[in-house]
Amino acid sequence: MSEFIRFEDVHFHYTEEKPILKGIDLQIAPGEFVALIGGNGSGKTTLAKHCNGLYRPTAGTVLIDGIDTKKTDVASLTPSVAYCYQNPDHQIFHSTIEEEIAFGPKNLGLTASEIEERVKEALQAVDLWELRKEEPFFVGKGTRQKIAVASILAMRPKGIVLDEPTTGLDHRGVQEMMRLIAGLHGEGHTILVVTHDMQLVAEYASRVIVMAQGEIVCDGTPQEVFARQDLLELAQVEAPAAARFAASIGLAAPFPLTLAALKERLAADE
Amino acid sequence: MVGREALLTLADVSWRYEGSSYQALNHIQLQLQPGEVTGLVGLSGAGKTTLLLTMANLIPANYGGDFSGKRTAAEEIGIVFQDPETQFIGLTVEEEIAFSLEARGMDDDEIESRIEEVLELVGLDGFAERSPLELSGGEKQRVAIASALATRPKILLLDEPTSELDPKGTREVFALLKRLKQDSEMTIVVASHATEELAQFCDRMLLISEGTILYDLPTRAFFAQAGELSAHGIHVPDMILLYQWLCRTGRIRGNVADVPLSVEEMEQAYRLIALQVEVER
Repeated sequence: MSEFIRFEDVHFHYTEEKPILKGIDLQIAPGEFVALIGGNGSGKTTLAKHCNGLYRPTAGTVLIDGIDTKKTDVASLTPSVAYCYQNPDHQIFHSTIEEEIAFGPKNLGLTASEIEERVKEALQAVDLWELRKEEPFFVGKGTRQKIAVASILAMRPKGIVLDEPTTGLDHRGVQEMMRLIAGLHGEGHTILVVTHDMQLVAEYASRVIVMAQGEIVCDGTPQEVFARQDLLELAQVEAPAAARFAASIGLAAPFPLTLAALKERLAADE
Repeated sequence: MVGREALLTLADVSWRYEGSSYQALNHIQLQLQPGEVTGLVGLSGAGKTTLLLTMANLIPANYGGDFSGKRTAAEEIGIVFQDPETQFIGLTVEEEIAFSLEARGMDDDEIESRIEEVLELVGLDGFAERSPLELSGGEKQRVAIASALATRPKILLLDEPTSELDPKGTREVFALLKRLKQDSEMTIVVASHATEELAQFCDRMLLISEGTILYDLPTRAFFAQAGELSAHGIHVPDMILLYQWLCRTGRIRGNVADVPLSVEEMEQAYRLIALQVEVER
């Protein structure tokens, strides 16, 4: 099976007058790095929460690793896809970091030694092994965000959905979080990131899905998406500065999206 | 920099929170001139919030700890925090704004007229009866700014006002701040990680690290220190890095300190130089 996540004509609403997802068709292959962008209320978080059964479609079908999310529960889907909340404080509730990380594996019914191994592996992956005895609420937001990611890694999911993983972090925190996510992608995890940070999209994603009013309005490479001014306005975002500059001086598309790509392009055009 | 007419002065101010061995502010020397817009950058934990709380006199007034030095400010100060929801107490936008005015014993007519005034100012006319919690992120933050403006402060302090907002909300808040700067000559200090926006908006920039102000410069001169800023973990906008790279590699003959503060400025600089090259040929 070449697809890992499959949406077939997925609709979702709380009340019929206010549909939130309106007929989503989507396939994500194993190992993809996908960014999901769109304005507030576009339905992107709702779509993301369908990827591990947190939400189930009102109509249509979501298949995760071949499993229909309507026919199973979140716990059974977690080894396939895990969801990392936008605000780490929504998922953190233990008094030490290591207990926090152990919670997921415990719920999977693993043995004590397996749990210990997973906690160590997950904390080492996010570089927090040394802090394992600390209280999660007394560390900075960037660290809490990493704890949230580690608690998900401990369940060894094949796919990880991250909702706004860099919001509220300082520049150094953003860089560390993105290196971490890129590393997980490098190890073969399928990544779906919901984000407002177009620089991040430009640097890391190989595919961008743009949502507006409950529908996918574009699904393409970052180059394709950032060349479409109409779509960017619909999604209420701006292209990265490098692309805006390239367009302003009349470089031909496809526009470079990062500073490194822009420098290369200017040097090559000489 | 003797500012006889400075609105606010911190003279050799140091601060340590009670129970902490860590000096949160170290010998801060700072003056705010009327109408000046200052951007404050630094990593999380560097002291940005502490400095703003000190400017507002919430430190030492509402916090325990060791304060030394002198703070002088004659004027009313408004302060806006990162997450507006944490400061909302009213059930409607109107109640929210009225709160600080009632606490000052203002009469009802005056309160009503001020609410109308500030809602118009932040572009939320007609929102008085709405619940602040059902607004978009950008609207919520504009309500928080309206509440701070209702007491007619001369100085407005904002602590990461856009860090929880989407790009649209961020643009709304900065557009509002630009209007306040132009129309009411408000003195503004904004702590933020959004350096692309700060570069286009601020007159002056401060870098704080471990409670010490490392740089206090006019915005262009500040961002010209790109290498130093990067070394301190500060995001330098791509156009500034591009410009300096073009200068250093001899691709353009500009002054390396004369960095562009927006994509538009970079475009102008680039076109000007392209034109010079044409003329020389």
